Amino acid sequence: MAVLPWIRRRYLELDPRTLGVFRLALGLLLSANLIRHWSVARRFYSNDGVLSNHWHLFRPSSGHNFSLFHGFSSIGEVHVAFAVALACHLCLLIGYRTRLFAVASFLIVTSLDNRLILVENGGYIVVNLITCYAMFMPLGRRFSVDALRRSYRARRETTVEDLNVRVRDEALTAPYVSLVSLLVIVNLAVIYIFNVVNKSGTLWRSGESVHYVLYLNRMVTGLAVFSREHLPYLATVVLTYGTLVMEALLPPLILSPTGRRTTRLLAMAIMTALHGTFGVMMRLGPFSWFLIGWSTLLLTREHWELFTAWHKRRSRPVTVLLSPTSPLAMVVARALVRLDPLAMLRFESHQLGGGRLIAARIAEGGPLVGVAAFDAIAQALPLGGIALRLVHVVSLGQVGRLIALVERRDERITRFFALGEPRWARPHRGTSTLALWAAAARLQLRELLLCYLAICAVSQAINENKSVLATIPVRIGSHSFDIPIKHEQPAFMQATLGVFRLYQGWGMFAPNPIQEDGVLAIDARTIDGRAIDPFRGAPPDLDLTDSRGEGLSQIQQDYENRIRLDRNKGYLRELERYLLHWHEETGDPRDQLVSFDVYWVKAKCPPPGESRMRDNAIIAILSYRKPGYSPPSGQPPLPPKPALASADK
Amino acid sequence: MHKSLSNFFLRIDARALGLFRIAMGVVLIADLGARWRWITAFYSNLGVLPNHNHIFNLRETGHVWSLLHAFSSPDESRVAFAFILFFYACFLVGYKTRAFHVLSLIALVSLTGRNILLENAGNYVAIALLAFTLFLPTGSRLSVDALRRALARRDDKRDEDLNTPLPKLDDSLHPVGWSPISVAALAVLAQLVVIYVAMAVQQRGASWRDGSALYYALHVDRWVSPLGVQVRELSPALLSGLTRLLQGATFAVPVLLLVPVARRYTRLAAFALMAAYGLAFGLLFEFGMFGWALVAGSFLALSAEVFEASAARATRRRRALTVVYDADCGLCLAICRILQRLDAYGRLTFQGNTAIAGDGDPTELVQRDPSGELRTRPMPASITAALADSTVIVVDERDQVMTRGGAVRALIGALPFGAIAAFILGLPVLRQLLDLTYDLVARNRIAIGGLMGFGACGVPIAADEDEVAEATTASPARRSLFRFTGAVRDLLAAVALFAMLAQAGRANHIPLLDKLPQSGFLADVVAWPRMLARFDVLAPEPPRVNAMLVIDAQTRRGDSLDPLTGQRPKLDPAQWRGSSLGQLWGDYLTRIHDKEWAAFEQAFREYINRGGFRAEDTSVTADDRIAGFDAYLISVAIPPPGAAPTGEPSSEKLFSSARGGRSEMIAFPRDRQHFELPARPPARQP
Repeated sequence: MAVLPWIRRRYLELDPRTLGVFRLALGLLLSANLIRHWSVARRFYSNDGVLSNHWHLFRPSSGHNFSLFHGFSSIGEVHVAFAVALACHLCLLIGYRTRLFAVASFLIVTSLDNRLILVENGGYIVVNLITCYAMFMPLGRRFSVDALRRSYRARRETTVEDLNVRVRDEALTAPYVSLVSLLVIVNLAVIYIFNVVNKSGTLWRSGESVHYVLYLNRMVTGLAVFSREHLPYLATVVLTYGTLVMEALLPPLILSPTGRRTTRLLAMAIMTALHGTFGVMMRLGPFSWFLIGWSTLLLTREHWELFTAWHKRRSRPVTVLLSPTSPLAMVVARALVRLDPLAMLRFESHQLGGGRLIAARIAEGGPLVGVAAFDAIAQALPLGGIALRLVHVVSLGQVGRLIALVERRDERITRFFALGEPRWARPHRGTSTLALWAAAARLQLRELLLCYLAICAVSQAINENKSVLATIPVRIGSHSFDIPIKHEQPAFMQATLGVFRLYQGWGMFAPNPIQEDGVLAIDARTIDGRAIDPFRGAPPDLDLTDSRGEGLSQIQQDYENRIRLDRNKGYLRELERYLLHWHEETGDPRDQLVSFDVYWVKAKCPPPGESRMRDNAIIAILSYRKPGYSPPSGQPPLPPKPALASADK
Repeated sequence: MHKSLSNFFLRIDARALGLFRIAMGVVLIADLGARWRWITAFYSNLGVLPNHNHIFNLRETGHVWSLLHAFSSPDESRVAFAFILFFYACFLVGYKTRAFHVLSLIALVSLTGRNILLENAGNYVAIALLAFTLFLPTGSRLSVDALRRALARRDDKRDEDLNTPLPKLDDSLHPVGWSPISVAALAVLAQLVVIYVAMAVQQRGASWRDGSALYYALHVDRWVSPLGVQVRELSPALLSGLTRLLQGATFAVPVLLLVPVARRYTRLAAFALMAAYGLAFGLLFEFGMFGWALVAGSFLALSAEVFEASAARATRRRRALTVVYDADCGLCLAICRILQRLDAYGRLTFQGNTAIAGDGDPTELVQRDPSGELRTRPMPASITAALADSTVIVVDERDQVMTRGGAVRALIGALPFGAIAAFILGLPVLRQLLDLTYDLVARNRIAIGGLMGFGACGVPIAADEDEVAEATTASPARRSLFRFTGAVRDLLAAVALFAMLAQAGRANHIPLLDKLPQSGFLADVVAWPRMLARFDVLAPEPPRVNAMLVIDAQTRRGDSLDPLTGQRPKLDPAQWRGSSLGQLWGDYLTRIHDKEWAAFEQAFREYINRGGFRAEDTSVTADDRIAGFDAYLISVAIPPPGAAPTGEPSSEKLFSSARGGRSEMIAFPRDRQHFELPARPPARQP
């Protein structure tokens, strides 16, 4: 009988504060990720770019391809779509109508992914999954605008005594119990389990993987180039094994039912270190940062208690002295109460001279006023020290003057906002039985839906990961038969997974990291005779052996890596159209291209002990010559048309 | 005087906005229903225009946007339509009105932009009215929002609460019934005027002058409605009279809308003419939303004077009713609270049954006198404690006592627009059903009230001691915000108004307006939401040729079939009695054989080859599949009024596929004579 509470306590509960922190992380990451895509919207998400919506709708790059972004064609329309999307993510970030904008954010991230699957990687799947799970969590219960509004509605303090009565709202601290808690933890562990298991190649066993990864010029950052040039080989071997060890450690640390205070903190630290390193060394898009964001869900109630105790130890209680005649002071005090969940502030009514509204007293000391009071109060609040520094920086050190200004204008402000008048509250009749029934029904429905998602996830993880056996041979006596493990999914499940791209194949750089680097190089000629690579805005470089990192964004480098594949040949005509209109993007008619050859330039990464790429090769995958065009005298002739070949291998 | 003129030109009464919202919501839902029937044909990739084909064909012209382009398969489109239905329904009932008004507008623009071969003047009217009213509080009256807001203002607990009107609030607090003085109201008025002026200016053909326009219009089978088919059989003189009436309306409505004197009568006359004009088009023709959107728009012409006169008349005829309700029943109190909010004419007085149902004898009845003041008089003898405990009682001025279903009918009848509902509920069978329903609810009122959180029966509802009275004036901060948002609203409305006037002037050749400058920005303002303002309905005159595109397809078995209707192709105009396909196909088939839309023809052919409306039907056998087809434009001259049909029909084979159709079925000579279809809508781009 004690099993269920045991499981519930360990795997089915999430602390509302954890959810609040997770929402802040998710909202921030989603906003940043969207801005990253918005910055290349013209090239990748509009009909002026490399893949128009009509062509993608005509020739979808996957089954069940659905994207709201397909409804937006011109760059102007796409800008509007991105602006609306950013507004949704920002609303999620601040926790305004949180549930609504969580759902909207999920639709947006899956739409963004579906609009250009060519650039999708494991990171995009992580984003889809975690935003999907976020829809089922009450993310706005803490640290949100919603929570603030709810609190203001629930309590209307009018006296100092009201301020000092801290009502403990169970909804703010009671753990959230749902299957989604289990799903997010188990799915996180599954990511690392398969990442370790699938890394079964010889390079991982010999410790050479990190060395090769650092030579993938297509995706490395300047820091990685610096590292490969200065780190001894032995260090890369240590890093390779270190990566494997860390990834192997993570599942037990995440899932451990005991010692969670330590194991989960350790898991968070390892994930931050591991993915932080990936993030600054490689351009992998959202993968690293969203997994760090996901790790915030590992915070348990114990961690919050630890934090509370720590904060109480290092902060001093402050008595806030309020002018009894100032409604504005009461407004400020009500806000302070809401920022002070640990009750470090106590309020007293006090006649303050000199037109002061608020003062502070620490222990038995004298009253502090102005900026000193502000600092003392802020220091008593959780994370107040950081906020305090931020406010001082943002206000250019003029906080004192601002306070003085507000105090001088107390009466005018009070009049302007009618702060002195008693506040009318809309009558509230409490929750009806019918509403409670409806809430219970919603809860059942939510858990049923989560069960279905869990089944989808398990099925997909089995089918998608190569390390899972297709069948398990069983022998009973003289009979032997195979139990099928990989299986055909029902159509509806395929649609669910496909439309929202909730896949579960985890194997970055597995079984081995690739040892051959490659990028696109476009040898184009402009109408005024210049040779240029429109993607780089520089003369074409068909030699990868001297590369010290290509400096490509994740979107650009993944596009280049995928467009060369035979299965994406259908999209080359869109690349051709883009190049033919490239001068419209630059706005310079002299940039009009009269010929271009698109090459896949590849080279082998150097083996350990060497530092130069080798075996450079170029394969033409697209070629164009303006019909009937020959360069005017004085301009170099167009290069001969190369033979086209497959760059798939 | 200045204030009066401002109210006339710059304010639309909240009740008019509420009626418009309800009517427009019904129109939108009906329009969606008409489109839903053809969801596969027009809104999916199995239809006549796949999304990629549409976007590709429009790639150079731009200015067409639709979120429905993101939806490819019929099932995806059905999901999208279900969401649109939800948006429309919420807009209709006025739930979160502003949000669902925006979403309804986006939905309508998306429906229009998804397949621009289907759009017509109806779309332009509906979009324009929805767009301009977006700046106005359409949910301020006759809406769920208004009811919720009114209920939230006071938690009535006693008879005194129920019998006291809610205090008036400052405008900046957006009270129920609030409507601002705004440029947006002027824009709405201007839009209505422009619609009728545009038609008056353009309907100048010979048939409009000689009164035969309606006759000819009703003889065009591709757009005449079933009722229109009946009406066209009326005498030409009568049709001529109707033509004159319609034409007269286009001239009279703008004048009546703009005359600032005798407003009560001019606006009422404008409303009646607009409604009649819209109804005529809605009932006689398949012009999609055109007629119905005009009917919805006609409510916007109703001025405050009209409503006030109506209210004054209703008050004069006040039939004061006292509602004796179970004061200990939470559900009963909740219903009384709702009735009090809906009782616009102040007819109802509420009296709890505590005194009557208690130990004491029934004492006095409280009721309003003709001036609206509360008066007491002796309780009718028929009202006993037992009766008051068992049913709601309604007592009128003549001491007539109504109970159970009768009381419910009396209460509904006392509310604005409630008389019709009360009459219907009084019909035999319905009357008995109402009594049964009442008894059922009354028996279970304790359980229902408890379930809904309205308090338990038998427990007197106490008043809150520390309740703070609602502030009726706004703070200066609130008023500043109110002025600021009003200024932004007016600025946006002014830009939209100017853009609309410039576009309407150009599109309809309206003198003076066609001289207004139209910058690229202003053109964009009207082009993106498809507010193209072409109101060239039956202009310059209806065609004198009855022409229809008919598909003659042949199945593999050799049967003849029209893949759009599933019936044998009607190649002989004598068989035509209107088109059963509706406005969408009417406009589509009119345009698809036009050179301007040649790029869209291939997709149409593919649709026919896939089996037309049977494209999704998996039960179609191999023998029933389409083996080939011919598309004919069949035309016949419409005889002049009173004359017998004389002209021979003619046909033009527009295109053919595979084995072609069963062309031998055409009994009349096919001389390939080409008919120009008059009144064909011009290019869609501004």
